[in-house]
Amino acid sequence: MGRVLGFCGLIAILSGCKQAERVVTLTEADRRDLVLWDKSYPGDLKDQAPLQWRRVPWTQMRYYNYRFGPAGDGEIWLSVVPSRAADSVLQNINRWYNQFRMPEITSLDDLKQEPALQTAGYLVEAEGTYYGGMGAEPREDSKMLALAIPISRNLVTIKMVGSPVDVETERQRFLEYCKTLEFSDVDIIETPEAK
Amino acid sequence: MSDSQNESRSTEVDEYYAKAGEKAKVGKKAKGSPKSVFNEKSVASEKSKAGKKAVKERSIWAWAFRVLAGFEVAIICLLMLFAATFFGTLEQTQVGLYQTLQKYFDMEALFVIPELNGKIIPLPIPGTFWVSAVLVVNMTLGGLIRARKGWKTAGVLIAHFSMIFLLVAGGVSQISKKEGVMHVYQGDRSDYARSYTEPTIEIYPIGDKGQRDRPFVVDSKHLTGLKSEDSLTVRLPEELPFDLKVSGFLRSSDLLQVGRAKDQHEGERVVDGFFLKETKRAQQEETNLTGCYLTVLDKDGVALQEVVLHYNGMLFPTPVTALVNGEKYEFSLTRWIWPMPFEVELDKTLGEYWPGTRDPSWFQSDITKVEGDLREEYSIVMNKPMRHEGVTLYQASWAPPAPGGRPSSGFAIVQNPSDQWPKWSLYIASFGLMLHFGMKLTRFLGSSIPKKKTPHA
Repeated sequence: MGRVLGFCGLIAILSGCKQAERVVTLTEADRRDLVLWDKSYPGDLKDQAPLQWRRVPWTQMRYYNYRFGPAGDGEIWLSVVPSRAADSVLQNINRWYNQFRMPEITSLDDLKQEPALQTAGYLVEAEGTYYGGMGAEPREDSKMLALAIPISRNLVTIKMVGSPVDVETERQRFLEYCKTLEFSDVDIIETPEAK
Repeated sequence: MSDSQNESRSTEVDEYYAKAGEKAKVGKKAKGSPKSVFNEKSVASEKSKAGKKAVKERSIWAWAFRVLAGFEVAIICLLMLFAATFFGTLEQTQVGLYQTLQKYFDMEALFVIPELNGKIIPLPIPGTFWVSAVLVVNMTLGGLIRARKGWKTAGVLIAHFSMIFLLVAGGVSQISKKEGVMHVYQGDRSDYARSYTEPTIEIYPIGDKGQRDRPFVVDSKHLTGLKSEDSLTVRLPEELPFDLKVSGFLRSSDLLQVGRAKDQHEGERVVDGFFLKETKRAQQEETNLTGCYLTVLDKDGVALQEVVLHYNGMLFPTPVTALVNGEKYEFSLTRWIWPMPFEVELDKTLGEYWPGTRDPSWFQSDITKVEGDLREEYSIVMNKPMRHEGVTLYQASWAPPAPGGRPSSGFAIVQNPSDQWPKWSLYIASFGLMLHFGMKLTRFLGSSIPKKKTPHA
């Protein structure tokens, strides 16, 4: 009886011991077949970022979050916000100017336009101290390059904020990135006509 | 287990002893024979040794058989199952169903120490999976093999078999059951299911045109037991120029940005401006948001890059990227995803809530099951699932359309080869017991009715 109890106790102790460092080896057998999940994108909005940008975790309101620059402190993000009011594009752009304490504009006419999502977006630039809000510390000597694309009842915005040098270095890639955006609804039921 | 076990003691076990005794007698006879031309003593001695050895081996097997088939083991197993169920039920109210099932009923649970209200109960209970396995062996040996066979015991044998079948169904379910969910919007289709609870890390190689290639998957069994202080090294095949190290694994966490949540930052590791904050693990496991840090290592184990992964419950992948040797790879912490054997198209879904509540009173989904060129239409309603080749789709949730949007259905997916076995085992048990008690009743009635007196000759 004593031996049995001792054995049980030993098993109980051993079962409680776990290795702090574990190793697992994956092989070709550990690959999963592609499904529609793998081909879907946030809001059905597909992008193709340059190799130099690194995607970081998804956060609410931001479909895509990237880091760039030698120090990795430059930020790029893509958001989609409802655009119900007629002047919501102007309101959003003025909010961005406010983040740099720059004067607001009254018309979109003077803003440069760039092609994106089969339409044209408004290109916005600002420089100075960036007040990102939401509890974030102000960032001195910053530059912003942003594109606001009104699509149907939504406003797609892509913002790049970093040091002026880094933003200028990435300017061309930013504009190219905006052109890669496309809507991709892979899980919609295909009608015979569509096939 | 029943009286049939007690009645069947004169079986193989006893025959072993009888045969062993006869052999010993033969050995004694040989020893005493004067006609032997060989060295009789040594031959007899060897024969005696071999006989004793055979008897000893047989007696060990006989002893093991007798113990394993015995009532004592059955009673101990049932008491252990009772204790596990009792403490598991109490503990479940405090930590939730998922954690309790993992702790008491998982295959990896060898011994369990119950814990109630934060206090440890010093009563180690063997894991129920293994107790049930012993009970299956016990019932097979005692209730089927050793039991007396005949028409009189047929009902009991059938009932015993049904209980074994039920326990085996539980074991098969434990080992191979897949349970998840498929969310589909009206007008959309889906071809995969996603686990409610089991975390996995997926590593996507990226193709030339930016498309995702088949991902490597770090299975949930490697992540389930990880604690925040543990680390897991993931060795990847040679075709990938890196390995991975998983650390800081948190079963329930928030992903916070250090710039915006300074007051909540208490020395946690910060990667790309993000840190993981451990949160209280909710009882409903599916609501817990898992997080971890991932270090990309070169093949010599040198750290190249660190990323933070967080599961956010979205219906699309939200991976992070890393550049290794000039090639981009994506990493995602998600719930276990598996391809379905067919595609589901949600043609139409309707539902209603009880007035003033968010409790569904009724919902229905009209779907088309697409398997290659074969298209079949089904209507799934509450308590009326679709079953197809071991896959069952239940209507588990329904969401009304958002303004300008479409309604959606959530189908609970169960892939379990033993899905219907418990039902069949109950049918078998019912038949066996009815047969047994029916025969008993017939015999009783037969013996109770007074027989007609035959006139004396």
